Amino acid sequence: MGKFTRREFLGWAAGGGTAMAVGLGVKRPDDLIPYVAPPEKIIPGTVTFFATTCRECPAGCGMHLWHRDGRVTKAEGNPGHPVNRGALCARGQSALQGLYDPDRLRRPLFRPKGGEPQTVKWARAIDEIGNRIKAARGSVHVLSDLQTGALSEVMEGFAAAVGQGPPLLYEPFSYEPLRAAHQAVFGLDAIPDYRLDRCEFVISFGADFLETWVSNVELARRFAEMHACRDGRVGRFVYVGPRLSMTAANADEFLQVPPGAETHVALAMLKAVVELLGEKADEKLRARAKAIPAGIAERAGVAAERIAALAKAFLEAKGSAALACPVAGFGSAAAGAAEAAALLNFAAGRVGQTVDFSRPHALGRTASGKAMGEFLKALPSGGVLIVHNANPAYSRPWAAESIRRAGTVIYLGTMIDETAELADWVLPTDSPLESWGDYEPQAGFHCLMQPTMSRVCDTRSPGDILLALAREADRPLARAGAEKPAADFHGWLRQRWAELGKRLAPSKPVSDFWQESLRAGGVWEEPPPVTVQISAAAAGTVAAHEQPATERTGANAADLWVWAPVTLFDGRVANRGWLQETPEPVSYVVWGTWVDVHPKQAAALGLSPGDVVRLTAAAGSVEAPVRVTGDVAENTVAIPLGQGHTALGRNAKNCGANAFRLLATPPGAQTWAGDGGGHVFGRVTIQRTGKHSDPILLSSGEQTQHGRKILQWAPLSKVRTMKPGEGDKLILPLPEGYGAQDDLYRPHTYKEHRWAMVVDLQRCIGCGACAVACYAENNIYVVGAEQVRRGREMPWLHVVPYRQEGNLRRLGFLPLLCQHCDAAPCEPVCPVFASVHTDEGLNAQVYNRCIGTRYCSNNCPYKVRRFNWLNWEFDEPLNYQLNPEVTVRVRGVMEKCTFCIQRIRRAGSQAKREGRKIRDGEVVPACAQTCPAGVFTFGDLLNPESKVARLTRLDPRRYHLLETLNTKPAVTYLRRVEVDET
Amino acid sequence: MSDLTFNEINDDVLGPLRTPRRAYFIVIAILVAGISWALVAWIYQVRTGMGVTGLSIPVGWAVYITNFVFWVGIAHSGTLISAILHLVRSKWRTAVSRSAEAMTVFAVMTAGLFPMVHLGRVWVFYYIIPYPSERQLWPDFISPLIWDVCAVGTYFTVSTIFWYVGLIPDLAAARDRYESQHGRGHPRSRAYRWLSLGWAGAGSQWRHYGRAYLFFAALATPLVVSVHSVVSWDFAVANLPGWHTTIFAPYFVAGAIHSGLAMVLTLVIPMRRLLKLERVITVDHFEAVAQTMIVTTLIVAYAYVIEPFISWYSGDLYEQQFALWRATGWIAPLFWALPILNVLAPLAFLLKKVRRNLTALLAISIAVNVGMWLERLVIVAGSTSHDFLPHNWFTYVPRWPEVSISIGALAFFLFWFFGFTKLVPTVALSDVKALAMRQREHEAVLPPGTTPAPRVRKAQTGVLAVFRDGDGLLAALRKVRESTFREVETYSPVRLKEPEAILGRGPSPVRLWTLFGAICGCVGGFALAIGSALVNSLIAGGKHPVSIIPYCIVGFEGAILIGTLANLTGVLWHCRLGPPSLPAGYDKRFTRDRFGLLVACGPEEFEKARALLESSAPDEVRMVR
Repeated sequence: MGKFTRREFLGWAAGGGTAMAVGLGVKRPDDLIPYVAPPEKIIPGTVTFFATTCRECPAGCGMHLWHRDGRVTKAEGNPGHPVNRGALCARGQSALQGLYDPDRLRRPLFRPKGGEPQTVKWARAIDEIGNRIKAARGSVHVLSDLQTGALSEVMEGFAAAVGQGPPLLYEPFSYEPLRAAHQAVFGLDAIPDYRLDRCEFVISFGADFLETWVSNVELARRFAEMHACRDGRVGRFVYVGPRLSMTAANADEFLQVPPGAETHVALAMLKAVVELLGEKADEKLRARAKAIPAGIAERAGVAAERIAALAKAFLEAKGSAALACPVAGFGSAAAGAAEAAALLNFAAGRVGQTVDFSRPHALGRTASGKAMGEFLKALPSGGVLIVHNANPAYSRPWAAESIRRAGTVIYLGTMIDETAELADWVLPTDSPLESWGDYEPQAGFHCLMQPTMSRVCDTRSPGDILLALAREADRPLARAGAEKPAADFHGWLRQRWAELGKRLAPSKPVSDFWQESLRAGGVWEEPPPVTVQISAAAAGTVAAHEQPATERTGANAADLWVWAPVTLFDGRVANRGWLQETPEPVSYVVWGTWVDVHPKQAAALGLSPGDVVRLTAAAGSVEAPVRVTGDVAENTVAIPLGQGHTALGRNAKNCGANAFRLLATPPGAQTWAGDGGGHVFGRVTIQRTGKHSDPILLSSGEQTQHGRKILQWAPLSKVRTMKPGEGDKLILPLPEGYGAQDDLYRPHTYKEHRWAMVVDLQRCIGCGACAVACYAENNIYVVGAEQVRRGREMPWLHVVPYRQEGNLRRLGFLPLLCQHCDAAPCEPVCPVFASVHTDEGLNAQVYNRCIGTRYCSNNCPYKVRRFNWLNWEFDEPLNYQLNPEVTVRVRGVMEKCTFCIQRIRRAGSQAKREGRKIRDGEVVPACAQTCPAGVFTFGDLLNPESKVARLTRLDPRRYHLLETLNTKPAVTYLRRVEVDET
Repeated sequence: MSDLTFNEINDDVLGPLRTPRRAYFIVIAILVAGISWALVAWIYQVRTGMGVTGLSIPVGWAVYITNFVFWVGIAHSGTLISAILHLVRSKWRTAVSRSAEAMTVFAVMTAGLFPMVHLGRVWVFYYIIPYPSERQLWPDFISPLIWDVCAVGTYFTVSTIFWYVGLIPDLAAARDRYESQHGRGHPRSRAYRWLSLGWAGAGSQWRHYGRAYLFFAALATPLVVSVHSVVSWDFAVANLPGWHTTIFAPYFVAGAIHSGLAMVLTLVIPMRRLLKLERVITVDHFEAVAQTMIVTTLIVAYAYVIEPFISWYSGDLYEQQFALWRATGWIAPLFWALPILNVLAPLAFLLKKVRRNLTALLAISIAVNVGMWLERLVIVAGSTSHDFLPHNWFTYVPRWPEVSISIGALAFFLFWFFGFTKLVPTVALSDVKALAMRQREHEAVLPPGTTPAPRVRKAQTGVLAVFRDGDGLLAALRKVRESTFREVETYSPVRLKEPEAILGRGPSPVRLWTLFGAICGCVGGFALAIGSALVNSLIAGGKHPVSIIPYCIVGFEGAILIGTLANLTGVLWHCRLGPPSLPAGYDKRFTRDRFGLLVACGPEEFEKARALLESSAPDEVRMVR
């Protein structure tokens, strides 16, 4: 420091004096209410809901954000939104952890060539990048994740003004084989809207549509509508594929075939369907079916009778749909199956009925692998590459080299991911929950995004950044039709929506249209119908897919099957603790990658569970431990995507292995059309590494029931004939549950309510959204891999997979939460009344009273209590997400599900204010709220009219878990339905 | 042993109370280091959380609770030897009873650490204590953990009192020996003087003392059976497979005595050698312990057989699978160690050769101790790790804080025991002397129409005769009773029953104290449980707030606890114990091997009294002024 000037002295004195006056340990103001002048309509301590759109995947679900005292604390589905109707998957809910990610990029970074990254001021970043763009003289390229609407317009305008060619919209999962098949068959490069809710029969050829496929919440909801048991009827679902995925586990029939053989089954079905149709079938179809060799299904190990039965069921159902193409699939077999499925749908008259091309998905806008390759190849070394919110360096590892060579790379995003690590400039953008925007996931669904709270870090909206850069490069952007350049992105968006309003609601003032859309989360438009015809070319193109896959050589060769787990998708969310600690539903693995190997192959290679193997494909290799399981077909190895990050943050980094390395398709190499071998993902070799590292399972991960009838199935033939009220006689958690034979103590009564729940196992698909909702609502801590290994995970609600007795192929999911027993074993053993029964029937845990004997947990037969083994500390700013209505627990106390007592109290207070009783359905616990499949029914058992009381008393499928213990649980399960008749 | 004179017994037992050698201090230093390390581990655990252990959901209890059950079990044989064998007039108990009682007290102290150590929030442990707090929330007397608090708390109190009351005459003997050897000013003399509460071995004291001791034994006997039953109900009341079984109470009590007797052997065999007590504690005594262990071995063996049988016979799927798992799962090596260590090894005691071979006794007793610890671990961690829902099943492995604290607890126990061997008489001195006297077993019958002799005040003057044996005393006493002297007092190193009859003193009124105390305690226990339940008015486990059945335990423990405390008050009151002052004319040899008879009279009658006493040929006669 040089001379200490008078000015500096005064500055220091003022600062120091203020610091002393307010105390140095002063709380940051945003810990409380951060406003000097509070915004309108925000009352401290109350909740305001903001409608916005989820951008965690291309599905575009509507969200409601709970906003309390200046910060958002929970993401829920927007009940009025056409895509998700109030439900939200685990990833959507984790948007909050993305917003409050402690590893979020906080200010602009500049990484000089060969130097350490340094933080810079926004003004300097914009200035220098603008100059750089000017200097690049048109050699500017834009690569972004999937965008529609205003941001897409800005990008296009930007690219047109300063760059070359349109922006490339890149998504790791672009469903290229599916789109290509539709292009070939119908002449439409599109992903249609699958109306599974209109189906009675659904068949999937390797498409895991309940997990990550296209729009999983929407499809899960529709599937549950179809598959639920109503009046003894269920829709049927058949899954054809190599791996018992979560989706396959929900199938009534799982035909396990090697990768690529789905195509053969689909073609055989197509042939059978066309034969059944006879003369009624389209001539082109008949020609196509004729060309399919007989006995093609036997090659996949499926008997001709099965095919005939499936074809008949597909044709005769009132509605049916065939889905195909795994999320990451790229091989010719994936396209073959997709094509056969498209033809099937067409042949049975499903196109236009259950397969709706009038609402194509926005994913159809994404770039193909070929376009991506050409784009990257064309990047000049002296130009500028702007990457927005996409991570090709992770999901297309071969792209890293091209990006590194691409002159000045500017990364716009919220996290330092693998691609951002390659960039010269990293500009932090707003989280989707902090920014304005719009998105159109399916044609006609115009969804709005709005800032749901003030910015957490020093970030800007990507639209504003692009507008500023264009201005700086002396090419200010203006929206088409606008008189002068847009001042900011919000203005651009308003202009676009004013135009939309004029078109959709001409009679309404623009501001009203805007306000209403903002409140509703968007505006929904009925698209014009599309007539779809089968193209003449369809007959000839698919011959190649009929080829059997070339023979494997050697015991260590296997077909590869790569899949995206419901929790991690393509890995962009891998830094979120909730998702890492929510188990993959079937394997029950958390925090890591593993390889499924069939027992026969494992025996041949001498592999035992936990042995680390190296899988080597043409593109690259990965190492991961083995899970030996019959869930995969013989000579097939399956590996999940989403892990193995080398950047992104504390949770994602160095966790698991990146299976994208096996998929890489460098430009000009394998693409879906050109691999010529009937593959979906190609082939790998398995090598032992000699290392051992067991995958981390939640609890023990034991899935065998040992004859204990934990998760029960009821045969459809029986359920069909049962009348309401028939079935198990349950010991109810009410005075009437008293039995003089079994009970030593006389019954006790409830005053006003007796809260209870019904869990429909037939509806439960296992996705785990409920568990994550519970984490978010109840301030549950994510303990991390090491503590999970030691059995210290904290979820109040587990979705436990159990296999059917004697049939390991059949897997069911058991949402297991506190059963709020009437005779709760946990209560009388507590010496200090920390575990007590409330007069509304809740099994309450009084944290302040708990001394931590853990006796309650020992004595809980359901083991739904969780103990605070250590001091759990929420990393800043993750603590902003904490629900102020729920206590954050200290070390040494037991905690558990409360049926979301805070929500019961909220509804109770509301009812009291309005001088009425709580209505049935008014209290919705977090798990029930978010469930896309409508598994949970919550309500008051004392109210005979309530839905929960009717189901508990009358549903023929009802049963209690471990009822012989006479705990009188308040959670009643409805059995899964086993389809035992065709 | 019966050949020894009082003097020899006195020297053998009190001899070790000299300043220890260096090796002793080295051992103490090692033990203190072990305790300190455990303390460090414990502080670390408290500050970090229970996560530093190997515990998990579902294995909420493991090594700490195992230690608790183990040490409570160890505590049992002390009371068994002292109380039950006292009631059945067993002779061999006297040689080992003191060390067994000391072991009991220290084992309960050690056991009492573990409920604290295993608590998630030890800093609020006092929530479990029933006391009127401003929160107006009482503990739940339905919870087995509260029964534990009542039972173990009572047990600790009662066994400590029992031990201490038994020590009083021997502390007086130590006092007299130290005072004669080192003078009144020696710190040890002072300590023993205060601790012996003014015990003089007077007949009026022995009368109340003997009766009170009987009541202590009578109260401690049901207590010893109840404590481990209550501990077993921690498990049996829970619903886990392997825990929920009615066999647990007798199984645990038998196991406790089994391990306790083994611990007596483990401790007393080396102690006898180091303290050179071979003449007092003989191989016969060890043989008697070993013979008793055969009984407990057979009971334990029965339990081992019946447990899987009941699992199978119950037809309960969970029990059957659990029994099978215990024999084949990860816990199987521990499980199969149990019959070998706890049954096969002590069955060797059927051979007289083994029973009388100290090395074999020591080795087998250690095997049983290890085996019984493992048994508790198999019960505690086995059932929790393999419960109803298979997805919970978990493998438990202890981590370093658990190991450190467990070893530290052993050091803690040994530390106290080592201290005990050097600070107080390790053998029940007066009992051994009484046994050497071979008294008639029955109580002397009071001749009809006798008027009881009044009590002699402490400062009373009179004439004191000192006798070499009890017979001389009795002869003189009879003569005095026939004379006109009314106020007499006897002094003896052991309790003599005839003088009480001769002096016409009936049963001690201490019994009324005890009865009153026990009734108050029982009523109070029920009142506390019912009253606090009515204040709380909370439903737990579907039970009515007032649930009488579990409160029986509280009432029972109350009866024992308050009965014991009343008994103690009674004996202190009637024996005039408390201030360390001794009666005029008291002779230090009275706690050693001499008997005294004081005839109270004024100086004017001294000569008459002296003549009367000298006619019985005492060792000496002197005036007490």
